Amino acid sequence: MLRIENLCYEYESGFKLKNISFEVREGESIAIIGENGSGKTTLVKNLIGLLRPDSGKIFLNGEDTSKMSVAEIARTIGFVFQNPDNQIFASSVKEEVSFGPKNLGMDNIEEKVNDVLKKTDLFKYRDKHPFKLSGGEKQRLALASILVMNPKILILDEPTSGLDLKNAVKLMKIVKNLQKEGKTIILITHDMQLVSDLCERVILMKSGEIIADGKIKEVFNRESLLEKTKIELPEIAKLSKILGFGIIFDPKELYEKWRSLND
Amino acid sequence: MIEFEEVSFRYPGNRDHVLRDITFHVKKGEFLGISGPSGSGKSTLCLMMNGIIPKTIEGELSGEIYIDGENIKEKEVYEVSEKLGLILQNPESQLFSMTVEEELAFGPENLGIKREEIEERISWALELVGMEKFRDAFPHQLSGGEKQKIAIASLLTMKPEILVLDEPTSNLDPKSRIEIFKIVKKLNKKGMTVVVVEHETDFISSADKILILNDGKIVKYGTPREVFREADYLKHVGIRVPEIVEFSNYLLKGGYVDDIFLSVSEALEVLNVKDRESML
Amino acid sequence: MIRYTMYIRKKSVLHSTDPRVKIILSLFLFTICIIFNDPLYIGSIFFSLLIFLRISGKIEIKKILSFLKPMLPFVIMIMLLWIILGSDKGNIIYQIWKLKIRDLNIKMAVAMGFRVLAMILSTFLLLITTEQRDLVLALVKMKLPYEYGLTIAIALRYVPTLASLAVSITDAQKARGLELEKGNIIEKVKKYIPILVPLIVKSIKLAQELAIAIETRAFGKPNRTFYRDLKFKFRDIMFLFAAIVFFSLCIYLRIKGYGYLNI
Repeated sequence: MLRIENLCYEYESGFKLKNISFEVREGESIAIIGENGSGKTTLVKNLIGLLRPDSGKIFLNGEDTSKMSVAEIARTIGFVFQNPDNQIFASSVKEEVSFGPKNLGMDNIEEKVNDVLKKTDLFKYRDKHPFKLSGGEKQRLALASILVMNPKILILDEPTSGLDLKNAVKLMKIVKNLQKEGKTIILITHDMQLVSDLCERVILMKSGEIIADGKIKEVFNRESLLEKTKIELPEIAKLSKILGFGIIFDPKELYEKWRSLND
Repeated sequence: MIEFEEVSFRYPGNRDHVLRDITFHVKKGEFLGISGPSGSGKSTLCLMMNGIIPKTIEGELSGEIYIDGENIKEKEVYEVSEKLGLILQNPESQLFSMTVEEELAFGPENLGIKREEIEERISWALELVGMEKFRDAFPHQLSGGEKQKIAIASLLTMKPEILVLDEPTSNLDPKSRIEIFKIVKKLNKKGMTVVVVEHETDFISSADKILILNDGKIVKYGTPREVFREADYLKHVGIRVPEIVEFSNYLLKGGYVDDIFLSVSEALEVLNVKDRESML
Repeated sequence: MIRYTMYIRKKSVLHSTDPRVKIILSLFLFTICIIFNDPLYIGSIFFSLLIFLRISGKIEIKKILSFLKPMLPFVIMIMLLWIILGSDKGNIIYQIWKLKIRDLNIKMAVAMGFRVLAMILSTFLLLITTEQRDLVLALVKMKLPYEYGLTIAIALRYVPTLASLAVSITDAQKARGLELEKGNIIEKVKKYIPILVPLIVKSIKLAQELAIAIETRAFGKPNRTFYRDLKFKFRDIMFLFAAIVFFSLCIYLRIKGYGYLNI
């Protein structure tokens, strides 16, 4: 579906992405993790064409993206930016959501907009002014305005950051439904519980390089990798590790393991 | 140091109160954690503590608020600010000077402090937050975590006795979050009274007391252990308890432990891990 | 990296001169550029300024010219306008159809070109060798109310913040298929609405937060002190004295009728 070959990119400031290669298969859910400044966002900007690689190639369904415009790539790869306030401009929710499809010259826009508003639980607000929505609703609106372009791959940048429990859970449910529909999900986040909940595969980055790519528990159980990336494990994972269960992010899962061992 | 007596507040033109019958006391040197879901009135509560509400942001306030024994009704915001420093969520809007040094000088300049003393305070505050190297830096070029540290330092140079932080880390990466909270804990150890508002509860689990707001009212108020024992209730109102506390709550319900635990080290003690390690 | 300040850090006489003296010098030079209109006079002012900046400010002439380069189209336009629309005095040296080119107008065009460039240089003299904060401090010391000084300083401080915000917003909208390059002029202008609206909304929010932040730092308390200060050194006084002598000399010459062509 998406293949990255030896991608290199250098900023004027000197920060580099070095020889990034990986492949994303259809229907997969991948988390890209790493410290701030490890190159996650730079990588994603290259994928969606906002930045163009200095060398290396990106293939989308076999087609080289270097000849495609950002708008053309947007038909297949949707990127939900972290801060919804950076994109909300329209005077109603439905107008906001129809912006993307209009730009891409899609047809049956109204139907598509209504459909996606229902999926993101915003249908009741379709005539409301988007600035009046709450933080959690704005986050869902940002998701809806990308989803409406029906991209096969969806990239989410810190989707739950700043959200309280109820809104975070609601958003996760939507993402899980999208996974069921067969969407390919790429998640950029610091929230390890979110990663373990949604993704089976993790790409770990440090200083512009991929230093690990594999199943989440495999990656985290490699002591040397964690040392190297200085990623701080959540308390629960530290405890589960000391208790001998390996890395576990979910309290309930840890409890089940504990119980089966102690009963 | 902070006393709220039956405080209620509503914004002009709104029928509903943002906060209702808020009563709590924070003693000198105490660390209070405040949490609650979005829209529960946390930020409003913070802005009341130095009088911005209702003096700058107007509305209808009833009840009394005392800071260091003085009713702030009769005080100007700049008078209260000498005693109580308030850190807001977005560091970008709190750093409005062209260099870090000037940022740190701004508060004491307003207080009319002499030059030599300001000089000393700047060095002292930068050292406290571990940002000595950034004295001549341009705020725009700092990372989010660095900005927030400078925002804290810019209040420290005013030598307040109380520090109130309103969601200081909600836009930061985990590493910066930990650094910010280490600084806050250090300040608290040095005797500063601290109030931290967070919708994530992991960092306030080491507070002396926790206050939970929901829908403008105090719904829980007690030590972290007392409050976190009711994890199910907290989840119900939309507050995530720390994962380790959630785990201990499962253990408590299953009858494996007598009480919840709040940290890894406490867990190891309660679960008698030495035996386990030899067992595995 | 985009540069937001023209300041070039150097150790030079001009850099260490009190900013108040530099402000006065700038105003003098500005006035001198206006009172003369003889290309010989203005031309020599321009070249002397270049040399002055090189020697007393240690700024390479190449660097200064690179700052002036973006102004060139503007200068050329002014010169052309003078040649075409100038006075009807002087001898016609060339005529195409109704367009008469006169020697006096060419002289004036040269003078105007140098005038604009010299005026720009006299402001550069200030901006290249003075840090923004010292400039604001100097204005406050020159009896500008502190609130105004603070406002100017804050405005300058947030230029880069808003610039990078504009970039993020543009990126977010491009990911929704916005193509700024496409369409005719009216369509192109319309395409900036989705960028301008979030930018304005966020600026207003920033301003509100800023007002609160400033208040929490005890702004408004009477009897403010100043951490940084400016003190006239003996050299500054000599510098100022020399500037006044030079300025008076120029005024005298002008009154006596030198350096001015009647048109």
